[in-house]
Amino acid sequence: MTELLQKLSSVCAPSGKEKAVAEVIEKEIAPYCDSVSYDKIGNMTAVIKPRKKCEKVMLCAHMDEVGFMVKNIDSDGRAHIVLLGAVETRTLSGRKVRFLNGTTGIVTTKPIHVLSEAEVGRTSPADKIFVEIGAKDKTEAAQYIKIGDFGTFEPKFTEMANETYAGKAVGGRACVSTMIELIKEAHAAKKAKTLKKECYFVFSVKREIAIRSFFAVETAAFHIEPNKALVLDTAPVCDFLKEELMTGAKCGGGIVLAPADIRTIYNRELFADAVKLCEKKGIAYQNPTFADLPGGEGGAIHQNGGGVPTLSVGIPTRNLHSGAEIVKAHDMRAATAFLREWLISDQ
Amino acid sequence: MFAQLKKFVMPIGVSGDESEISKVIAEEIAPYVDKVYNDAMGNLIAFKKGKGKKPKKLMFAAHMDEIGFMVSYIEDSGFIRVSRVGGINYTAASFSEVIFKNGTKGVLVPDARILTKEYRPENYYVDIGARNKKDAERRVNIGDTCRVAPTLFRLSGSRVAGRPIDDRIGCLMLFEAAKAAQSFENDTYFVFTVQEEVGVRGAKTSAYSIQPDYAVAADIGGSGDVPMCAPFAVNMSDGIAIKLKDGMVICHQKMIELMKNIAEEKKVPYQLEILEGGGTDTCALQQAAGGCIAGAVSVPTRYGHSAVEVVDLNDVAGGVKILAGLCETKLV
Repeated sequence: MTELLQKLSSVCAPSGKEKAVAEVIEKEIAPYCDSVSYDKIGNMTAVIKPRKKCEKVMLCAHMDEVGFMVKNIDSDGRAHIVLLGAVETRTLSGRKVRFLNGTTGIVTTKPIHVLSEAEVGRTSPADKIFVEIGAKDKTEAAQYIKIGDFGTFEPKFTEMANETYAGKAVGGRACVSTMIELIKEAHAAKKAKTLKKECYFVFSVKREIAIRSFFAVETAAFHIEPNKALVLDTAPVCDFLKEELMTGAKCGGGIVLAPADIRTIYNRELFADAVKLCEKKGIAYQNPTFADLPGGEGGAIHQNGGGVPTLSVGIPTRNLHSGAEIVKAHDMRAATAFLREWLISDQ
Repeated sequence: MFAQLKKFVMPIGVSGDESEISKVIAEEIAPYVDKVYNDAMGNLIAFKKGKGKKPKKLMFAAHMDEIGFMVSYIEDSGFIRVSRVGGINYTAASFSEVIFKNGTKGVLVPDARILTKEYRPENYYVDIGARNKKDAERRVNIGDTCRVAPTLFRLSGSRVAGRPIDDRIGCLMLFEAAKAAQSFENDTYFVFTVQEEVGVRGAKTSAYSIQPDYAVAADIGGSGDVPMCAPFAVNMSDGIAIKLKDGMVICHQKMIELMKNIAEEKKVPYQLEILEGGGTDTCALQQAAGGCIAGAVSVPTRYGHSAVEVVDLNDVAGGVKILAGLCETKLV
């Protein structure tokens, strides 16, 4: 598991440039699937069908990550950037970033020594952030980067005590890695004739730049027309602020089953059954403590076509959208176990 | 009509959790239609086959969900934190009786020592009288829904007050139209939609599946006759309002004309509504799949989203006549 997660999180694939990670995933899953295909905007769908006809379920995890794009290169050779997705801007200054062509840069902003009183303790707005690549002027910079180039945080994977993993995009890729494990399980279940669902595993694109309900995964749902859908994504963790009453999930507390978020009220039966399944199989789960959390891809999927009963499963992730997200293997295992049981259950 | 409305007002149906009200409406409407079923999202669809060869598809939509709350966290002390579902007016909901789907009762109150002007949704909790978390969990779980207690009573004349008149009054109009229509010239779908209050989600999917040629939503509107309100050319008791526009839709001219003609023919008083903000199922009906000729009737309503929404049942009766008239009109 560690090796796969490390491999996945080390690939740079910001929203709109997911090809590199798609290739890695495809290589991992191809031997276990009936088919693997891409739709026109890049969502990858892997199919595993049992012999017997049964209901169609769509399971999705997004494969993109937050990042940035070069919008301008100034006369001093600095790259000005736009952020792709809700990048954690409070911890950007001094961060190492990597452009997809391999160029390395450092995020730079006004030094702390010259901040006005009003600026102290505040994050620098995106238009005051730039990336230093060491070039002496615009012409020299053009040898390394050009306008429209993509980049992400520098990949740096760290394994800590108690199977705790840290690195850029670790949360999202933990979901991807869980899906890959699941595909292997589904393949085994198919062989053992215990698989109860026609599985469409979707690795979606452009999730991080989705605004309102416009998620790219909608296209995949439209083609698949599933009877049910399950969205696997990260869940924000905020368990250290004891004085805060309503915070996110606990890291290491098991999968997060949400009854609702801002974009979706998850299907009542699927949610109740999921809780029961966890209780029955002894799978660690938790409810998010505040249902007003920003919604994910479920928002687009459950309203697709004639409607799709949808369930959300979250892997608790610390420092979401920063250069060092943190997840625990315990939660990933719980997610794999839950999804496996779900696929072979009658739910 | 009052008694029938009461039947529709009492069952709980917070957005995403509409099974109770769905059951009640299904039972009531079944004798007047050919088929009643729920779709994947939970929309209740009552279908009546039209006469003749290849009739057009006419869809009516009224949302059966209501605003309410969902349990998000249970404190060690047994107090229950709730997340809002739909556009809650906290001033209106403060210090009131709430009822959960399983019948548990509680009171919705803000944290102590918080000033009225500082009220935020997260400052509210429900006190069900539990002694501690364990005690509370015996009756309420994460994800359970509750709403401010339903009520309905008569005011002067044909005016009534209560909740959730939004939009059980629309459900009533659809039901009464199905009952009153002399004939069904079109394939008619009476759809009681889900999740309108959180973003017209049910109307979108039901209209996608049905793909109607014509669609009409029935919902509450506003009323421009209360003290200090913004100028608004719709007054309660002056007749049902035919929607021209709201914050999310511009109605189809053909539908507006159709309804105006029926109103004039049947001598139903009507008004034309331009609602500055807000939206209804109409926008979703209009845009689902390949789109359709969509419009809406609005019941002039005072104090929407409070526990004392006020409407005039005479306006409602006029709306029923227009909807029944549409059923009886051979649409081409």
